Amino acid sequence: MISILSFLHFFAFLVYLFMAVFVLLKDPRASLNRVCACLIICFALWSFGYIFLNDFSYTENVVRFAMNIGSVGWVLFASFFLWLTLIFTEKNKILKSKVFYPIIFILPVFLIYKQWSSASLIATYIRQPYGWSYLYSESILHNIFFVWHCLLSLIALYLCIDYNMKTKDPTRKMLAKLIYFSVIPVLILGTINSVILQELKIHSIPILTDIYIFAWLFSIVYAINKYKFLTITSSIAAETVIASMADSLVMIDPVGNIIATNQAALNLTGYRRDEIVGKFAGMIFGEEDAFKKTILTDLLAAGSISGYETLWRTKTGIPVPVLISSSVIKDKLGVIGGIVIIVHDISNRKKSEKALEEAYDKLREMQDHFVQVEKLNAVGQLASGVAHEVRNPLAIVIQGVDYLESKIPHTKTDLYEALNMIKNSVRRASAIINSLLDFSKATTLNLQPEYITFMLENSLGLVKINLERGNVEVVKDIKLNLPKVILDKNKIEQVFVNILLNAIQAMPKGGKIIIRGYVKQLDDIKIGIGRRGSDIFRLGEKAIKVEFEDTGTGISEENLKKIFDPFFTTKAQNGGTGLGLSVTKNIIDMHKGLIDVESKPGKGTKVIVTLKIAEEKSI
Amino acid sequence: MKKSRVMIVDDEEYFLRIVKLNLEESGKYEVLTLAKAKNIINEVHDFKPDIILLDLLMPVIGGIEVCEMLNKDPIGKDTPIIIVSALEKDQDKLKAYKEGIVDYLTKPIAKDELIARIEKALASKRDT
Repeated sequence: MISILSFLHFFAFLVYLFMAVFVLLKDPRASLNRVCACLIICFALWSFGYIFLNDFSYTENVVRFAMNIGSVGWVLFASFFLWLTLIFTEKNKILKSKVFYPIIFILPVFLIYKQWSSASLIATYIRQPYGWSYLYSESILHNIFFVWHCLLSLIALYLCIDYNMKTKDPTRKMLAKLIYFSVIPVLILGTINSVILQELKIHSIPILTDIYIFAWLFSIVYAINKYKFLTITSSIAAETVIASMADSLVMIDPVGNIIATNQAALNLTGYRRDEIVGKFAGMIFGEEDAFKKTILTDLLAAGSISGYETLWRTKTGIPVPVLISSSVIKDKLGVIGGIVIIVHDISNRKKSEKALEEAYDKLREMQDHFVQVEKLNAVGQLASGVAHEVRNPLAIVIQGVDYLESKIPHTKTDLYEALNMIKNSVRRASAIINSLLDFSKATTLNLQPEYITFMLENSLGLVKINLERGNVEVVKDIKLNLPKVILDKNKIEQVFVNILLNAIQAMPKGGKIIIRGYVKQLDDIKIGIGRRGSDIFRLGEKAIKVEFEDTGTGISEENLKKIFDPFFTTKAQNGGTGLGLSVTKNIIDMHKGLIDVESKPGKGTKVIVTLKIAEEKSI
Repeated sequence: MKKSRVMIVDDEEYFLRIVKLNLEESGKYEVLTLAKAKNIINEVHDFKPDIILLDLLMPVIGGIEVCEMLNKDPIGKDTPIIIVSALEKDQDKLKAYKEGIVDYLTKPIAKDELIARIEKALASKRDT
């Protein structure tokens, strides 16, 4: 009798060890198998202690030592059982929680330590005819242990029952049933045998709790054989692959309703599974019509599509660029059962492409700038050379005309008129040369932080006589305390003078020029203002605006497009060279600013110059 | 009334001739033209101009060198010089002003303006 009990525990010990290895080998990488193996090892340790407990040939010290080793098993098993149940019932949120593991392991480890160091759970061992029995200590710790053990076991049991009721998968439903049906008798018998009877000091019945656990073990073996529990099957492998794949996967029925998704799809869209399953898949496609056409019409006709680029829409409405591959699932009779869509998030690739595009734009802009500078340099060199060669003959022509004028009788008005035309032409040729030289000079800037208000006053001073002669009134609406602008004083003065002279010339009968100066936040995307690296101003950036609004003749829509073109002029008869506004635009471009012209024929023209505000550090 | 003596130094033959005609036609000036500046000191000593109109860009001896030569000459250094040139760059003007010229005119220049500038320079000379 004595040796049989001891042998029975030894046998159980070996079976548990074997089962732990067996379960691990079934799927060594699955956490379910690993935790299950740990639980079985707890039972093995438990049995190991009882081998010595049920044989009175061992001394009390040996039994105490063996039972202390066994205590690792019977103290820790409830924690591993709860852990296993949580994995089985897919309580992933709890399992991912950082506090879960300390909660289930700190107290048992402390109890094991107290048992080893001061016998706080089992205090003494008493001889019995079949071996040894034990008495629990008077310490509160053993009561805590009972409560802990019951609490964790009952929670695990509740989770199994709850899972059984909720899951629609018949196999898993059956597995849950097997677990709780086998655990309930083990828990009841084990608690009576090893706790209640010992508390009541009824020691005549040997403690066989580790043997009762065989019932649970048999259910596990049955589950492995019958339902491939803890075993890798092709469907489990497929499920695991789908669940762990980085790409999103969505299965839809032939009318476009979502049947299932993997976690990656939920992560990408931000929806919960219950918010998306059963809904029309168009809700997650950025363009619902494109989804209907591409997936529901083209795909169903073609059977599969791959590498189709489209947009997905997250729960918050953010579009995500994706690449989708999709194929139709058909049963053996060829009836379409559904559609599988694999979605690859390409937003990072798009970002890289955008960055590359911006860098390219910037490079192109720089190249254009250098080409422009080179062009201006070439024009400059040519202009300098030409200027000298042309001015000399012009000097002779003008002096010659002056001489002829002095020699022709005043009555010869037709000759005077002809000479006057020659003179005007010489003046115009001279003006063209000067403008060409101006044009070529606009290649380098001498930048300093300056107040735009002073620049405007200086420029108005330079055109004072023209304003008076032209009977033009100036109205200034310039905000106080405008920040400084980094600019080349002479060049910007040239710009303002050019604009003012144009305005004066546009009002042959006199009129009004309104000059406004203010700071404005640039909120509208337009040429030069935006989010691209090549944009001169970032959207939302603050800039200084200077407006010159006249009440002149205005510019036709057709001419408005050409006003910055070199040599475009409507004032050739009056000595216009068509280079003034070209030079003006060049200068503003070099300042990384913008110049815009708005005009309505007959009503007037508004020229708006936008310049960058000087940063604090540069002032 | 005594005519002012104007010496014009320029490599442009037509320019010399037409300006000479214009100035003489005004009746106020006696004009000597030089197409080369090689013998300018001798010519200045012989002609004793009241004012010199000088081009800058000339072959062999340029306008600035002429100024330097005149500045070293006892008669030349007291003769006001007006530069009449097609060059209009600031550095050209600065170089010339450093040599003590009284005015700088950029071609093309009309007769009336030229005469006005000459008269102004002569008036300044008389004042000093």
